[in-house]
Amino acid sequence: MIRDYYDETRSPFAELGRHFFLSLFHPESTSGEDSFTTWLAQILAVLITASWFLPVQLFRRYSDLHGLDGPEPYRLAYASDCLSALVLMCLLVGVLTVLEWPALFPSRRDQLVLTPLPLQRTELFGAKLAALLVFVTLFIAAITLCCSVSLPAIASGRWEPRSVWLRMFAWFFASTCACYFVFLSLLAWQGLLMMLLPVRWFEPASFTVQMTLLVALLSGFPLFFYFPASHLIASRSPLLEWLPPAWYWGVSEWMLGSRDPAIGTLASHAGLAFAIALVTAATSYLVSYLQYNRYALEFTRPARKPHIRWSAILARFFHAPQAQGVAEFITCSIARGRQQQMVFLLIFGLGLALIFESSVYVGLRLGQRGFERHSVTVQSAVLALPLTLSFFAMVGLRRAFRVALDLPANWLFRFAESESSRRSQMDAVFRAFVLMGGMPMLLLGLPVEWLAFGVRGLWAFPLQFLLMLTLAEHLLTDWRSIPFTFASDPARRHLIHSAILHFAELSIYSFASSAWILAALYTTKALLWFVAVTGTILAILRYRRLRTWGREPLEFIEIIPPAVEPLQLV
Amino acid sequence: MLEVCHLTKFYRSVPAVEDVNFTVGPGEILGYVGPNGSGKSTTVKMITGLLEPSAGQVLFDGKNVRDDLAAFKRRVGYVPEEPYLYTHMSGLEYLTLVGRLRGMQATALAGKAEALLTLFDLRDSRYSPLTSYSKGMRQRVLIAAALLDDPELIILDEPFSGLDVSAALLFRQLLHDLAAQGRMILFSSHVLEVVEKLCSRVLILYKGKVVAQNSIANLRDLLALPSLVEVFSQLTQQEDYAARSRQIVRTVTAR
Repeated sequence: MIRDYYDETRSPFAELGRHFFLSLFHPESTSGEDSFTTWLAQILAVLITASWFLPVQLFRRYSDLHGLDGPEPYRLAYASDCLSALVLMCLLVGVLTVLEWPALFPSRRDQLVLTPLPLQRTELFGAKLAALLVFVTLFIAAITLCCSVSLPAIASGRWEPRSVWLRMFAWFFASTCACYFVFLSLLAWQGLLMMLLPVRWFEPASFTVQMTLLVALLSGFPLFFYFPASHLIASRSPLLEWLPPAWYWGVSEWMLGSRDPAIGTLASHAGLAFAIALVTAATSYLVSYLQYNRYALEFTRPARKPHIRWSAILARFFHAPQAQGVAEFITCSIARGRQQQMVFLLIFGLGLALIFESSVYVGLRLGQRGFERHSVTVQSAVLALPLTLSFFAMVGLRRAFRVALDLPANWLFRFAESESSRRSQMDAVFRAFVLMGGMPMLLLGLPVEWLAFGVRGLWAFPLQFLLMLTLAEHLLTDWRSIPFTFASDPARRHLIHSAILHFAELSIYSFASSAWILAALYTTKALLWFVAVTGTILAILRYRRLRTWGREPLEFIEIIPPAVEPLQLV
Repeated sequence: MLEVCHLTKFYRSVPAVEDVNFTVGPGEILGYVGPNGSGKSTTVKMITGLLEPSAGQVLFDGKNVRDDLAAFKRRVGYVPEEPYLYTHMSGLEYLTLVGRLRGMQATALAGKAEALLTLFDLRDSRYSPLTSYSKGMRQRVLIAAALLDDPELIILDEPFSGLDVSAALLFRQLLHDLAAQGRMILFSSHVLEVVEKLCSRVLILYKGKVVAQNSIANLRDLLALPSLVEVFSQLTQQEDYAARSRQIVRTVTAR
């Protein structure tokens, strides 16, 4: 009955708002229709399962702190926990906003599809903004509410004189403001790009910013564990004034009655920054509202001949025209496919994050003992660097290959498929995979290896290349498709299942093998063993792959003929 | 010669195409017409190897095409019903991809692709992504791609869709010229006026079955009807359009 009433009374504004709200669960930047919600559900399931662990640990910690003789350790711990939690919340909101980046403003598609309908411009923009705010508010509420209740409650004890309710409120207010600040700042950033750049420049510039932010934010997660919150607070570091989460920690402390001038400065920074972000975001929304027709009307000039055609360069590595065609297609698609680049960078960004984290770990460890270029730790890390990068590049590339591009257009490949050309086409896939994924990363590592090992470092390259080929064979063992011509089911394997498998692969490929390569650089016996074992595995995997490649037909998604589709028989 | 013998396609147990037989000889343009859902595109996809028939066979020069599908497809140019293209590629890149997948050598391909794009008025946009092309421009790219490797058999599924008047006139003349050169052309379309002007013979499909196959003049004479449109209406049991139209108007104007 309520639903009937709702259906009867739904206004165009509410209908639009609902449409925009639901579309936020399927961002254009992620692959597949349900992949985003599937991933979100899988990540949430893991977080909920693991969430019992943190309160138990915090409770034990604060019990110990309240058992100490003085209040100072407790105060420092509580303050640093609050600051660390704020940093984490800001990172989470940042990642979500970046993933929703193309949906922050009414898109070109919205403009073109909705303009002919009898809708007022205010309805379109109002509904978009309302849907966005509801979505973000729900997310922010989900992460701040739980933390606002649990952290002040768990931390209560004999050294905490302030009311738990006041602490809960202050923390909730400050963390909510911090999260909105991150969201509004990113919204303002995109708004500024939109206001200042011509339409034809906006899209690539916006995408570049989105990708950079995504990689930076992903790198922030592993570095979070090294965040020296207690050190910054205890030393009253001036760096706090440059750290946005610290500003909002200042707001929380100020609300709890602290009148320390440093806290006052942080709180005033927070207020000013929030106001600037809010005004800029609102102004950019207003400007985009006023320039509504700019997207639809701006003239696009025909493109000129590109100076360098990377696809043509890659095609030179192949002899058969069919293989050249596949290589060119892969290069064009990965260079221009936004979803494909997004998927690749999401995975490659994890690799970069891991490298940052390892660098910080190694740096801190060596900082205590003194840096020595020829130490085993440094040399192993140097050898692991290109291997780790190539691992994430190849895994990312393989995942990106599975993201379909213009799926119905795959009729071209289906039409051209033949037993005689299949093998060369699949070889092109393998070579493109190696040349675009693993090879550049190994080459990137060469200068670092030269610095760490001298001339001996060059010998690491063929060993790493052998290893990289083995990984490529392993990753493409069951591959029987032209990339981007089919779509994989994102729910086929659970995210955590994949993560565990890849972690095992990475441990063998990068961590264990770098130690082995290090030994192989200095002893002939280790070198011979390495070549023999890796070569044998490579030969077996290659034999397995080539046994089926070219014989079995390629896999394509079968498009159901439009005339039959309404029958819903297949 | 293309010979389609007892071609049948079932989806589960429902027939989409049933016992279709026809031939297309050198220099001939066969019109393949029928209402929506009659099985035209399914037939075309079976001939081009995109769908496997449930029964029957397609012979080309007396040989079953499925015995060596790749060799057959090398001799076929195909324009699909929908302009499905890789829109992130430019017109030139798309033609290059098609040429390479067909095994054409780079030097011959480059010149031919450029020349065809110029002749189809796409030269200025040849480096622009297909996403910026209009529907008619995309259709011209598909036609150029179908003709790129000088096919013996040309299969066209709604090729005039989206073409402007001048492009349509050019294409109509082009089909005449290609037929005069001895190419076999299977022309599937809804636009009966074009079929009437262009095709030497016509095959009418209704609910997956062939209901007529003859020269257009013979069909008109046999049924004593003045045009192909009326022959088509009678054979495919088209209803009273005037009554349906009045019904639509009533529905639209109802408050």
